Amino acid sequence: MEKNKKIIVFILVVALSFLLPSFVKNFYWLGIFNLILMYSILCLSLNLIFGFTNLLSVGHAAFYGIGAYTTAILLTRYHFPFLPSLLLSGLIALFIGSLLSMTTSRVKGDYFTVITIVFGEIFRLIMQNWVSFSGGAVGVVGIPAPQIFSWRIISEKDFYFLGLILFWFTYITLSLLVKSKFGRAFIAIREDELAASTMGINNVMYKILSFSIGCFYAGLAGSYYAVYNTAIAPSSFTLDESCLMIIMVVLGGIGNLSATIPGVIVMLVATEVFRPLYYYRLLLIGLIMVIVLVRYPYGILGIFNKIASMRKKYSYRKV
Amino acid sequence: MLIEILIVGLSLGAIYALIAIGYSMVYGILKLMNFAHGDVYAFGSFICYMLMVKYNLNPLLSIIIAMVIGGLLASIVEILAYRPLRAPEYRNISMISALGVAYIIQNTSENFWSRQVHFFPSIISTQFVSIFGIQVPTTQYLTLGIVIVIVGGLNLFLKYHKVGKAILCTSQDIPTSSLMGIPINRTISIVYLLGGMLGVIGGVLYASSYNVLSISMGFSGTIVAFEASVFGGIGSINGALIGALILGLLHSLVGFYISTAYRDVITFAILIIVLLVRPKGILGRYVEEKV
Amino acid sequence: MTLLKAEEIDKKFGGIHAVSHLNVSVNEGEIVGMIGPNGSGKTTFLNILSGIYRSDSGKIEFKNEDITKSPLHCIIEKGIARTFQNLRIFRNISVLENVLIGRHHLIKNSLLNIYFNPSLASRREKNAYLKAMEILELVKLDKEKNELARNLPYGKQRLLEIARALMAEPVLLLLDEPTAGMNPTEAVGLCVFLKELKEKGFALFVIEHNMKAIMSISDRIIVLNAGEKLKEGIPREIQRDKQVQEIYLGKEE
Repeated sequence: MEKNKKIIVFILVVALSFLLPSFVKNFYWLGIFNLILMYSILCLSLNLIFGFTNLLSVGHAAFYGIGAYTTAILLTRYHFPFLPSLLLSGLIALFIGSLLSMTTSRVKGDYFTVITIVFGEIFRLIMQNWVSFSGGAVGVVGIPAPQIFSWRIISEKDFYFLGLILFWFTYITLSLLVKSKFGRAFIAIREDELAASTMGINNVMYKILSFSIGCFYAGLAGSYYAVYNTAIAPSSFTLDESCLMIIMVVLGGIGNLSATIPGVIVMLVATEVFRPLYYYRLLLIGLIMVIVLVRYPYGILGIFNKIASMRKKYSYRKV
Repeated sequence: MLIEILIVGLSLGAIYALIAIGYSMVYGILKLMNFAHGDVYAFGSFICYMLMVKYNLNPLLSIIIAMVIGGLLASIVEILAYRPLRAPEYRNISMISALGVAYIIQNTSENFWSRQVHFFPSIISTQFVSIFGIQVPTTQYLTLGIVIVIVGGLNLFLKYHKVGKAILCTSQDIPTSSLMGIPINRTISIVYLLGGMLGVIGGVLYASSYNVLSISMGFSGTIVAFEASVFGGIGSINGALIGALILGLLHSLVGFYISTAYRDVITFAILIIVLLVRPKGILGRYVEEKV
Repeated sequence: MTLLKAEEIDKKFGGIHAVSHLNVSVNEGEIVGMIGPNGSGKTTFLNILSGIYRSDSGKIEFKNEDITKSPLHCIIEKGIARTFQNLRIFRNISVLENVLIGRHHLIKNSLLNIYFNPSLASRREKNAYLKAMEILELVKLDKEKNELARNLPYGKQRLLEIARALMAEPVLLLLDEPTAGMNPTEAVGLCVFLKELKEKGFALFVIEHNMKAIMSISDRIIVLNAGEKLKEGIPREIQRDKQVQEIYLGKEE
């Protein structure tokens, strides 16, 4: 499609998305859309970290949580206005993300992944035990409805617009990023770290950049969650959540921003469908993870799908 | 007092070693962080529990059956969920698959045995033996002894037995080993089998020593295995042992002198420092990538 | 004018003395070839030159600047680009994206530019694109610009790697066995291309096993054996040299 046509289509889509509540008034459905928007923000940022830069972070939920707690505490304890809290949530998540990635970016990829898992668990443990700060297992309740200048965000519809703004902000800024030299640098690191270095890319710096930027958006999503849910607790920021985000990214397609949304929708639908089977929920999610990955290692909509040749090459079957 | 804490730490470390060895071996050969490792041996430990408590089977027999089941489960997991993703560019994807498997096994175990903490009877009777004037519970020194025997045997196996040597070759260079006639798939299955079996022994010993058994020990076991492997050098069996002993001592000391709640946080901090300062651990071999 | 001067380069890997007291220089606009039996240290030396390994001792000067301790990702800014023996292109992205990555250090867009000065940012991207098409036309890959790199035939993948290196506007190109895996026709084509590069002013340092190729393009040849420089001279001299023949073919009985 010609470039100008693409822009027109894009503007149309954005406009339509803002007009959606005029057609869909059902609160249940708006609630689902809100969830989709929030997880999309989380997964778009995770796609930057994992899909583009190949940093498998299974601790993304921790940064989601950092953002949530930041907003929750600022709003309830210090009566901060919402907008600065939103920004601070993103920045603090970015800051802590940069600390973590600075200490671990030189480490081998596999170790890095386990570190993110452990970090996520440590975060949850600290939030669970540091009662005076985080409210312990109970968490923070009574988070007031946000207000941006004169716009009070209370109803499902209000949250839809807030979520939509955050979503488009995320999508547009990340799209610009991945189309630029930065995005290419991330991809180069993913494809071949040594060759990337040879081409002048400072791998460590770009890994830290990618991770930190991704954490920023996770913080934003956390902030949204805090005011949307009016209460947060450590139990929302578990390893299961991080895994869910990962599977959403992989399902949609690594390295493909637009493909992330379908991945989110499919998994959210799946978890809703599996909800009555509560006790088997994780089992089914695990099954989906394994079965899909074995068949489509780079996502159903992903760009590199060559399991057949790879499997044959590495199966060492006795001929 | 300190000596007793150290001895507790050593025997705890010995148990950790059984869990860490399987994990470390798999990573050494396939560069895969097997996240399902802990849940596999936890499942095996529960089988042992069920056999002992529900069916009143002889403890030794229960352990052996549980070992076999645990080992087989590990091998099956490899065939179904890891083997198709063995290509080096699927490294990260295979780890995600491992996480999926972990969830599957964990959830299945939960549905059979529920999330609560179960009481696991002591297999080794609690008596005290005096060593150098210190009262040491039989469990602790027996545990240490059993593990030393096992690790010693494993070392001999790897060095002198045909299958053991095949494992060593495979861990160094798969294509060449394959060309030399080593059945790669079978060898890898054996590694998983061994890892699972050892893990079950470790899990059962832990449950017996502390009289607790719960599903959550699966995940924490995987973390322990990883930490021990980092300290001691991943890919090396003796490294896993040393790393595990250090970790056991660390847990024991921190748990007693500081607090159990922040034990994991402190271990994590030390882990980060180790990874920054000496990523290959104590006995690890750093294999430079051929350019 | 001397472009590159490597003095007394020494590198051990454990007990193996890979490179020993090596002195190599490359002048502006010349093609220097390096040959030697397998394991003689050629690739190791190239890796040291390009910053992947650090030599145990010795000095590397490029354009009169000491680059011995330069970090790997800074080497390309100095004007040295390289290709790899076992081909390291970015397989899952397009030909165009591959070469654009080569331009990385010359596209001066910062994060601020991208978000707050989009017209400047896109103008720089456009320039990079034009340069990419220019280079792709040079290596005759312009028609395949949107093809995934992994789908190209091997010979074209090798050209792609060279194109990517050229995008960085280097002064010196380090090529590690550029004709490896090519059939004779492709190899001849590559040699013609490399001589064209020399005419354009590039200096080349080439490791090769293909004797015909290296002899036809080099101004000077350095022979490496067991990490040490055995001989250095013009191709004709090297071809006739008894010692060089010996290390490749063995002593005459």
